[in-house]
Amino acid sequence: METTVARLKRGQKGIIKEFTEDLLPIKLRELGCLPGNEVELVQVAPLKDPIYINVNGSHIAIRRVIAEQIALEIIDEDRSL
Amino acid sequence: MSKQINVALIGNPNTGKTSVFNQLTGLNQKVGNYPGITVEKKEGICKLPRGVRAHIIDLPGTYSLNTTSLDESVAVELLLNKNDKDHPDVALVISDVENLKRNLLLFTQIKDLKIPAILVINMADRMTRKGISIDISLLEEKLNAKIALVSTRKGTGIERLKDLIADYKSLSKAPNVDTTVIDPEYFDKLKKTFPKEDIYKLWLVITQDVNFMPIEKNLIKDASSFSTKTKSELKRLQQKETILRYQFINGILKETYKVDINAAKGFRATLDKVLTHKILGYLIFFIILLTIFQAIYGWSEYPMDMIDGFFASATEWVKDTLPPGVFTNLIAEGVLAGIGGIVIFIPQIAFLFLFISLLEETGYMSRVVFLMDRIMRPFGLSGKSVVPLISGTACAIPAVMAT
Repeated sequence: METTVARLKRGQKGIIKEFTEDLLPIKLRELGCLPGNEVELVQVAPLKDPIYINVNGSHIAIRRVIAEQIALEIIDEDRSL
Repeated sequence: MSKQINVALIGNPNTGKTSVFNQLTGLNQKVGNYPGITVEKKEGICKLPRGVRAHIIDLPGTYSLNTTSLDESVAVELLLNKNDKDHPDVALVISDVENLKRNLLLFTQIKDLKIPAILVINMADRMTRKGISIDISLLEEKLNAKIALVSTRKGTGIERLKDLIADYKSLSKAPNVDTTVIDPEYFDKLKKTFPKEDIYKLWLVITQDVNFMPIEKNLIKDASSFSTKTKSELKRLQQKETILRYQFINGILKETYKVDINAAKGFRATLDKVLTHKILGYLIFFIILLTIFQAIYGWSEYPMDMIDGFFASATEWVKDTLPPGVFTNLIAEGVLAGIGGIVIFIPQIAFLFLFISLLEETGYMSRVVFLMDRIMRPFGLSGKSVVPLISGTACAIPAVMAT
């Protein structure tokens, strides 16, 4: 299933596919937010924004606006088990 | 005469660069645990085996050579500018055990600048606790570089590191990653226009907005007039470069770096769940804030009363002992009252700073920033503004300056 980081549910994991905009901060990419890497949604702040993710072993919090620019493929936990 | 070499310490924020610096130089620099502590470079001297003296420079933390802030460009400038008297003969890239992957990004970039580099893996004492194992000799072979596994907390591995630095001439200068593959045509043109310059260095000069010495500035000017790429094209290329580097790194780490996940998880996840919880998180934050206010206004009253009492009796004593006159009034009503008016605030300030640094160092502040970001946004502020907001309750001036 295809979606964006912003639409992940808590505890759900996905593999980054691409960025829909070029405006993504370089710092995010350096921290490992790159196509092919795994993202897990750890926590959502009250009022649904920002979101707290674990990508590539780095724990980072990003705003929803940015999360929407990261397209990803959800890993179906049930099927893989 | 013994010769002196320049050694630069560089690495991600929070990897213990300053601790390594202290171990090497014996200086006792204050070590902080929040990002951006090393804003200016620090320097020291270290005696190495075989009569070599090393001039050690501790650079601000940076995630890569793509700078986004002032402290980061300090590091990049020094690495690029060969004419700088501090230009390093050896770069020590400091990494911690847990975030090796992220740190290797920076390491490969420095290798590609053809600066002899040693990878220092710090916090080795945490390896067993975190379930990490690294095949050092294989990693050395793959990166074509020397690695020192050290623990600054226990003081292990420093002697081997000194040996490696003294032996810097035998370090390989071969680059790790060939950046030109991201756009062969463009890099070919660059190479032809500046045949004398190193290609990766050119690439960095073009993509970074950093200040260089005059010669380098001319280079930039030429380069930018030559560069036919728009900003977004360059940015896309930078992205390609980062992906390329991570592919290289992932390939290596797959064979050399193993983590036992069961050992690694647990405490942090549980703590995060509570601290960033919808209701509990705010409750804890509120309790902590109340404690801070209680400390500043309540507990500090006792030392403040003592200071007040001390200055009151000192004034009295001066008035009683000295003969009445202009001079006595100056001492009693001017000097003593003036100093007393300042000193009386020391307990409050001390408490405030104690709590703020405690919150910063434990990483709690980042969780608060996460909780508050959405709430602060309608006011045109970000979650980070919580820090000045807190200090603003004590004194408004620094808070206003921080926004």
